[in-house]
Amino acid sequence: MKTEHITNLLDERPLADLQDSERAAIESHIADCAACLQAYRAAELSASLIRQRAAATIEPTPFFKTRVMAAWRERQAEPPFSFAAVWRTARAMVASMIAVVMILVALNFYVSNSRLPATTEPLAANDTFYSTESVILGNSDLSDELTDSEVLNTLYESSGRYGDYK
Amino acid sequence: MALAGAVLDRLHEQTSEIALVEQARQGDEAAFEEIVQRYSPRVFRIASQFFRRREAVEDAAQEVFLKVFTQLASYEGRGSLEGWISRIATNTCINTLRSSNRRPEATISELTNDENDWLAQRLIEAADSRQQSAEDNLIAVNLAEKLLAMVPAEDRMVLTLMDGEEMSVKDVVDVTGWSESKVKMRAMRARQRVRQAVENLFKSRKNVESAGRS
Repeated sequence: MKTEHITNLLDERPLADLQDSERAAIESHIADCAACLQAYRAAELSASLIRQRAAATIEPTPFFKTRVMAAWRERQAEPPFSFAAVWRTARAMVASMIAVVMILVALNFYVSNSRLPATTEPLAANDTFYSTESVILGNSDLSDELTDSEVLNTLYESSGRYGDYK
Repeated sequence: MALAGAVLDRLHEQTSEIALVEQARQGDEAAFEEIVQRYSPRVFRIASQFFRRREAVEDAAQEVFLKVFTQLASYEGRGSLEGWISRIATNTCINTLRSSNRRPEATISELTNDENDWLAQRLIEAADSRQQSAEDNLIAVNLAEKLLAMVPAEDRMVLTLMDGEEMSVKDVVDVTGWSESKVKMRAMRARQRVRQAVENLFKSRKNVESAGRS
């Protein structure tokens, strides 16, 4: 292989725009490189196809002008966009949607009011709460702070019990 | 002297364009008709690069002129009216093509017998459109359409304008309003895609032939 592959050169610009030096480089390369030869043939064929496709244009008929003007007049005759017109057509639907929402909200209130008293009243009426400690110790006036004598008593009691076990 | 004449002609053309636009803005139907009459060949030429069927081309062209009439107020007269209309035509066609389904890949099995034979013929002889008959030309155009359908609408347009209509990068920049690097990049990508698709058709054709022999 004399030089690097030439596929980039094929894709960068239209084949017709290639300079003589670039053409010479391509031709010398494809003489040795089968892959680039195939790429070059494909590039030539696709360029030819695109040229033929571009040449296949459709001309306007004499009636085209009449057709466009008719479409333009039709569009001109359409009323311009206005919120009032949109509201006139949509107001019935909007009103029915609001009515449905209001019915749903009313139903929600009715159902929640008819169920709440049975389940929440005992809790709500009784505002005295019992902790586990107070139930077990039978003392509702619990305090985390102990007096010095209480601490000493507790220590003596536990050390005495310890001594008994010994 | 000739240059001065050309400049004067252009100036006269521009003045008549501005007058035409002004009349159309005031609702003069004759001015609208004149715009359609004057620029429909150009719009048809652009739309023809995107669509094959006459109805599709006419629909696109009609849409272009309706947009032109609607947006006439925004035309400032900086560039030529033809350039402005061409840009509207290009964008309209791209949007229409983008919304339609693209074929992801053309394979040898999707080609008609005529296209297959045509391709085989091209493999033997150099691709020279001057030697083709009208029928050959039609087949080539259909095959080109199939290949171009694999490319995104914007890339296809750039490729057709540059390689088909032999427009310069600057001309395409004027028509599309894109940057030069974007135009070059899209053209290169489209060229590569179409070339590779043709290579694949060559390869699959060879495979079919070798399978037929064995």
